[in-house]
Amino acid sequence: MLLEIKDLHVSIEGKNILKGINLNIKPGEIHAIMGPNGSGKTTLTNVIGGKKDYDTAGSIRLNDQDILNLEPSERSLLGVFVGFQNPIEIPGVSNMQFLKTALDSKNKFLGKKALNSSEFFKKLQKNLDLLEIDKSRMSRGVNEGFSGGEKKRNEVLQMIMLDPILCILDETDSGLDIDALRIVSKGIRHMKNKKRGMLIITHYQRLLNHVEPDFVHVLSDGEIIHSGDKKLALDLEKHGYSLLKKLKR
Amino acid sequence: MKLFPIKNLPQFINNLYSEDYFSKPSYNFPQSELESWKYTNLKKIFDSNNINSFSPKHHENISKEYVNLYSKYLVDKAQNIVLLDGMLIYENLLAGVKLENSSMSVNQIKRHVYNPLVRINGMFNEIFLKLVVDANMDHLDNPIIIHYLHTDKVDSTLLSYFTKIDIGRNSRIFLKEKFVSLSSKKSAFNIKMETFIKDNANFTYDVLDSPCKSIVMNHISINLLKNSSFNSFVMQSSLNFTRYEYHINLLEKNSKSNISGVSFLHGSKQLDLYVFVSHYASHTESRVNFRSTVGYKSKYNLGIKAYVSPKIKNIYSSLHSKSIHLDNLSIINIKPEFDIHSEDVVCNHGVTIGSLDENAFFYLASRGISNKEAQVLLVEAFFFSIINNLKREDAIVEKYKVIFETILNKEILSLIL
Repeated sequence: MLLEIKDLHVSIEGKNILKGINLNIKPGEIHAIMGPNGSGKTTLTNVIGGKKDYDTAGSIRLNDQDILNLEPSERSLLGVFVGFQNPIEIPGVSNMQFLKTALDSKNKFLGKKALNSSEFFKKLQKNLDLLEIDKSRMSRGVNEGFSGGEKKRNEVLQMIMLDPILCILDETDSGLDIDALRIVSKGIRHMKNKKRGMLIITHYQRLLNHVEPDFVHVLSDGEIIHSGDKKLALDLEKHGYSLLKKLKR
Repeated sequence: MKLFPIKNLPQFINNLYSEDYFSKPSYNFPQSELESWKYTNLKKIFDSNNINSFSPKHHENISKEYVNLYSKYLVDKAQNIVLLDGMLIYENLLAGVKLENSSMSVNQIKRHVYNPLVRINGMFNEIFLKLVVDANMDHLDNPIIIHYLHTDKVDSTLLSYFTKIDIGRNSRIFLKEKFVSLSSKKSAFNIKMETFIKDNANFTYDVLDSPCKSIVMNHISINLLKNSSFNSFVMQSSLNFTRYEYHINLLEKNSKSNISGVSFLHGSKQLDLYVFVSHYASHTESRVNFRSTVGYKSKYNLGIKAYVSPKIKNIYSSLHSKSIHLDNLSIINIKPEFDIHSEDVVCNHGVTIGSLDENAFFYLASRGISNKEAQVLLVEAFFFSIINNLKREDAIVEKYKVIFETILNKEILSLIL
């Protein structure tokens, strides 16, 4: 099993957010989690990524290794990538410097030789072309002055560059126009392979038209209340989250 | 003497007295007791650093060997002035720049020195340099570097220097100061500088970090005439105690001053930084912007004040500072002040003291960047936003970044973790 979440409970300042999540993702599988605002989707993402603001119980295992007590950087080096819903801006740290530092850390962890400048630029340019990102953006601070769509494309760029084994994308499609959605979807499809697992968190069906999930889960009030195949996403799109009431019964 | 109650005063004021309001210092009006951080006890600093003598023990027998020894550090394409234990031992200046070196009597100081504060301080200064730059000289690409060297002959000694600089019309001058100790023991550099920048002239003055553990006190008085400008950048990390005091007088119209700096203080360091800008003429502009990180029993005092005199117009002044507290063992005192007596004035100030951005930290870590590397990246970003905006040639900005990066990586990183 690539990712195994067992009875995960998460609370913040005494308030229960996730109430016993169980989720298994095998290599090659694409899972989608849908749910209304406030259902705990972003909390799940943050907890898998290692954000420290939460009290947790239960377990999260990656390739049979418990990662719940690991630092965020350690989880990333083991192959977890989290694409954030609202990527922050870090003025002063250029995208180029950031990507090179992250990639060097990853290669060092894997016992690989660091890419020299020429190899790095070649790899970067190839992925910039794929995601239709202007090269000039790389000399800016991380996400500094980027539009919402550019930030999401930058998240996908980082994902492709770091080559993780588990991709978690938190509402990567939110705020994207049609063209940006097409480009971001292209980047996500580019990552699909038999060894890699994906967890796509979204409100809408539209991203799932571009990236077809194997499983769809409905998260409501901190619990996965229903799981199904891609048809479930279509039903939710058609009937809205009022369908949840029926599912809960 | 009993002050309250006072007849004819509104009742609520007399009530304040009865509530013991005025007896609590924290509720009181500003007073020096509440701002004691502005008054560093120098005796205490000298005692703790074993500085116990106030003049050089040896003026004589200074060997030229030191010049040969030090010559490898003299920068190419620069105009170098070397002072060894207070004695001028080397000068290499381009045409249009002249240097006088002497000792001055109190009467001479009175005659030469304009600023009364500098004059009083100058009474104790034994070593006098006068630098005169002719009109229409453009030496921005050839900085003048004053090297202050102390050897073991002045261990535990405070040496006072006084430098007077006159910059002629339309000239552009770049001055750097370097403080070097050739002894393993401590000494103190006490510098007073008074500068007149004449019409359309430009004076750039930078002081980079000095890799020695001495004490440096630098009192800089700058007087700007019509259309002239002053740019200064300070980089500070290694010195045990440093005090920079800028007195900027914008005397005539269209004069401008821009002072910025970065400091990384750790391990019982102290930096006192005071900037007083006075706008005496219309159409004048001043900017102050500092960034600092303070930790590990270090102390950072920053006082920035802008004065705008009456009956002048079109004034711009901005006072900004951002600081990061690295731990609870360090102290930061910052106060921006405006004293404005005209109406056509645009002033802004912003002072923040905080810690490294936790969200930025998490974001970097989520990409596999270790805590150590994330800290370096974020601290660099914090400082580089100042260095990147310096109005210097690109090559100089890059050089400053490399110098500061070296400080962060080699000297400080191990202490962060």
